Amino acid sequence: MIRRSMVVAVGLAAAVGAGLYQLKHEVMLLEQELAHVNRAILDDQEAIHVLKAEWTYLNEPRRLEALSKKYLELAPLAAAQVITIDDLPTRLDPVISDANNPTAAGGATQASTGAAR
Amino acid sequence: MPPRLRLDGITKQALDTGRTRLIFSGGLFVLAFLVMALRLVDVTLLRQGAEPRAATGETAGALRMDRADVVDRNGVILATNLDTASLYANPRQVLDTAQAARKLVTVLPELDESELQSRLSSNRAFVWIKRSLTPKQEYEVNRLGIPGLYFQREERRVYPQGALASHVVGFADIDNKGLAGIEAGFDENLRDDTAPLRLSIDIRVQHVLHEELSRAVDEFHAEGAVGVVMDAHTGEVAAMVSLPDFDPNDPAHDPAEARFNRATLGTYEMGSTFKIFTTAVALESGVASLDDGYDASNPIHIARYVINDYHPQARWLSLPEIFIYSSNIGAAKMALDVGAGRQRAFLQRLGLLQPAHIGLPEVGTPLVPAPWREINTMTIGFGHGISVSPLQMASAVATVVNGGVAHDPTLIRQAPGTQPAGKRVLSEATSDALRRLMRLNVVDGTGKRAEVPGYLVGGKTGTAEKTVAGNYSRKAVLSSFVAAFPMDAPRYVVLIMLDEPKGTDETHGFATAGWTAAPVTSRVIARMAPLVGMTPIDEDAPEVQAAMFVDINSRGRRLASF
Repeated sequence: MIRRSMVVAVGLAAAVGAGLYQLKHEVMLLEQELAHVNRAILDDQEAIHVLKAEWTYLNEPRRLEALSKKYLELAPLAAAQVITIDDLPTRLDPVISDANNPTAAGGATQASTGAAR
Repeated sequence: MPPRLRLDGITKQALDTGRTRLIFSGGLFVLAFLVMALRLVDVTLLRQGAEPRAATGETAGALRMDRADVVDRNGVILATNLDTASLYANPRQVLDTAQAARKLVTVLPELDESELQSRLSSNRAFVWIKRSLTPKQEYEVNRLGIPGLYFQREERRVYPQGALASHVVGFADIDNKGLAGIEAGFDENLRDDTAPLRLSIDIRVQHVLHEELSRAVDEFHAEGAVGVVMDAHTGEVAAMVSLPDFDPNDPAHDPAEARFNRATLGTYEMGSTFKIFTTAVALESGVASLDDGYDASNPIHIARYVINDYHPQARWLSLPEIFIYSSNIGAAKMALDVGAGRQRAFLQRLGLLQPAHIGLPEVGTPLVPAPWREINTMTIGFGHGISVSPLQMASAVATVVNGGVAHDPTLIRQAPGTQPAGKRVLSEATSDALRRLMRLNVVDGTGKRAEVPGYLVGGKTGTAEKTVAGNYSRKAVLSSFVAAFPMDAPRYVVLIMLDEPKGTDETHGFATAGWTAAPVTSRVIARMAPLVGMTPIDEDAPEVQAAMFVDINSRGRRLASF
């Protein structure tokens, strides 16, 4: 009787020990992975930081202006180029109410309300 | 038969003692094991929640640099820290110093070979060879494979915008200590904080201002130039340029005078732009109204000076006429009527008599006459005999046009939508009158070349003669133009100042503000207004006409040319 319970107890202890070792090993691996990921995050943050500085450098207004002059036909906006939405003509000419063609009339009303908004 | 053993006396006593001791210590052990058993039950079965469900590991955290970034109001980087490698040597470990020096010079040609060799031969354990190497240089030095050389990771302050905002941002030294501008003024904040410091500067407006001023300096062969763009209602500086300027990435490269911030540290006699304040204090104190005027037919002789007009009309001038013809005689008489006490108190409240609180170390102290005599009152009436910084000037004009509330100028962005508390300096009515006068001056006076269709610009010219060897010189002038727009509800104040512009063929040889500074103002406003999202106004609309109407009330003949 005593021998039997002894065998069970020793078996249990061995199983628990092995399980614990396995678990500890897995945790160690995970911790290594975590440290690795953390390092990678910091590296990426640093890279983002450098890239942001480079992006700003490349977007320097003087450089953009030179590039724009070279490749685009853009000029500073004049006040006359700015109009309000009320000044826009309606997209469709006003249609005389036509019983045979209700869609055209409906379209015109829609366009004019859109412009008035 | 063995005799029955009887334990008596001393032996029995000893056995009894032994048994008691055994029971006692056994009891102790039982107790201890009981406690352990209970504790085990407690820990394994009863204690709930004490053990965290998830283990916490270390986290990466945010990237931390030695110094926080400086960004503009839209988050564009003006200054940032980057990692670099710095090369140092342990001379005790360098085997062949001559060979090491010769090899290093092939990769870093800016170093001097003999000097390098003497440094490598020194008996110390640490000598710098070169700070802040590029990644390519680092790779090449590594490839040389010289023993005793090491890299130290260092941070270096980098200004990606170059000279664009050099006087505002300033610069930091190689050990990341702020030496000028915001870098010095907010040094502690930049060291302690991780969040970027957000300035009120808008880099797009800054670029427009910088470019137009540079062009004007070239065109008029000016010694220098200043530009300030300020939000009229909050005192936030949207752009500030002082030319000549420098590259903050290499501040020692440019001459020392390039590092002088004319906008905040320099103080100048601003000239006729001061007539804005003279007119304002005259209206505010009730000394004169827009219907009144002064006789400007004869120059004023006082002490050894003669006060003359640059555009002489030689007749009685109404207040609006004094403003648009920029009459020194009229302004001097007006100032005399106001009196020294009131004039001084008014300029004090506008912040023109004490250094501006801007958060930069480079702040000039205004030069104010003491004692404030009658002649000072008269000359200050048209902007001579008092020196203020262009920034103070812009801030004071903002106060005059925004409805009369003074705000400290600032380079730090205020939370959008909030209106910082200011102190009232003049009434709404006076502010309204000055807005009309400044608009009239652009429509019909000395500031016509500052007009931008659609943005209702108003402003005042100022051409101050510089003192050369103690005397005012007609040749060396400071031409300035201070404007606000749109004049019915001003949003921005723009100040442009050119130092010693020379007349060109296009300006018919004139170097006065109306010919030099006013056109620059016009170009700056025309380019910046759409950038800041301003809708053009129809100047001919009746309500705009009514808001800008001034009865000139002239007793002289109207000039047909206007």
